[in-house]
Amino acid sequence: MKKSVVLSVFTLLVAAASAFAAEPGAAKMVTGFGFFAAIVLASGLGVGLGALGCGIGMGHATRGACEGIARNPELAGKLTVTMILGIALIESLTIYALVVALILLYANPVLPKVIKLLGL
Amino acid sequence: MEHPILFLCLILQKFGIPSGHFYYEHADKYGILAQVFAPHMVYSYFVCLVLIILAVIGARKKEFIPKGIQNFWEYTLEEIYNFTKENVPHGEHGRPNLVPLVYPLIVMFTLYILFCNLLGLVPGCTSPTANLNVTLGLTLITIVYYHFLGLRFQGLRYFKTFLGPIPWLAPLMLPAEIFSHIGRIISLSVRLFGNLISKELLLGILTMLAGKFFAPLPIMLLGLLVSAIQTLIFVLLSLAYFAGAVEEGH
Repeated sequence: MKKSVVLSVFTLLVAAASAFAAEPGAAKMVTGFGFFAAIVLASGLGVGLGALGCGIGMGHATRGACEGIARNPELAGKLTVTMILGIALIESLTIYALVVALILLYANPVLPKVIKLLGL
Repeated sequence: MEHPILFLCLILQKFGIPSGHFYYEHADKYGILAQVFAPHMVYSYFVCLVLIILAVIGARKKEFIPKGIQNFWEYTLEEIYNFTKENVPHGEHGRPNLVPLVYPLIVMFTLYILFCNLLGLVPGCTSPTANLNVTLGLTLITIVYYHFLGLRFQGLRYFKTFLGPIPWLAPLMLPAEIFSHIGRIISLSVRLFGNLISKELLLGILTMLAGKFFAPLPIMLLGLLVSAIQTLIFVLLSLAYFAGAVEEGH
C-alpha cells in the first residue's frame, strides 16, 4: 500500500516536471544538465577510466621487471629498457583517451550544429 | 585556454610576417604566409637550422683522435648505428641488409624528435611535435617506407603475408591485419602528440595556477624523461615495423 502510494506520487512528479521542462528547452539544454554538461562529464570520466586500466597494467609491468632484476641482477640494464618500452606502450592507451577528451572539449565537431539548432 | 606567448613568432611579427597562433587561426584572411610561418613550423625550421649548423661545424675537421663537437657526433652516430643494427636484419644468415637503407632516416628521426621535444621545455618556445600535423607527417614517412621496403624485398608476395600462416584462416586474418596496420598510423602519431600536448597543457595550467611558487618544475623534470622515452619509443617502433615488413612468413 505504501509502496504504491510512493510510486504514484513519483510518477506524477516526473510527468509534471517533464511538462514544465518542454517550454524553456534551449535554456535548459545549456544551463541545466544539457549538452555542455554532458561534454564535460564525458571528458572527465573518459580520462579517469582510461587511467584506471593503465595503472593496473603498469603495476604488473613493474612487478615483472622487479622480480626479474631480483632474480638476475646482472641483466638489470636490459630489463629496465624492456620495462620502459612496455610502460610507454601501455601509457599510450591512456593518451588516446586524453586525446578524445581534448577533441571533445576544444575541437568538438558536433558543437557548431548544436549551437545552430539551439539558436544561440 | 589562451595561446602561449612564443618568442620567435613575436620576433617575426616585428618584421611584418603574420606569424603566431592568432594569424594561423585566421589564415584565410592573412594568406599563405600565415600558414608557412605558423608557430609549429617556425620552431621546426629553428630545430632544422640548429641541427644543420651543428652538423656543419662537426664535419669541419676530421682528426684521428676526436675531441669537441666531432667527438659528440661520433659518439651519437655510433650509438644510433649500434641500436639500428640490433633491431633490424643486417645481412647475416642470408637475411637482407636493411641498415644502409634505414640508418639515415633513423638518425633524422632521433635527432629531430629529441630536439623538438626538448624545445618545449624552454620558456617561450613550443614543441613542433606537440602538433598532430607534425607527428602525422613523421608517421606517414615510416608507414610509406615500410610498405615500400616490404614490396622491394619480397615483391608481390608481400601481400600474401597479410593472409596469415594457414590458408583457411585468411578471411579472418585479412581484416585483422588491415585494421592493425591502420591502427599503427593512428597509434604512432597520437602517442607522440598526446604525450607532448599533455605536457604543454599541464605546464600552462600549473603556471596559471601557481607560477610564482615554481610549480611547473616537477612537471619539467617529468617532461625531460618523457621526451627522451617518446623518442626512443618512436624510433624503436619504426625499426620494428621495418624489420617486420621484410621477414618472410610467420
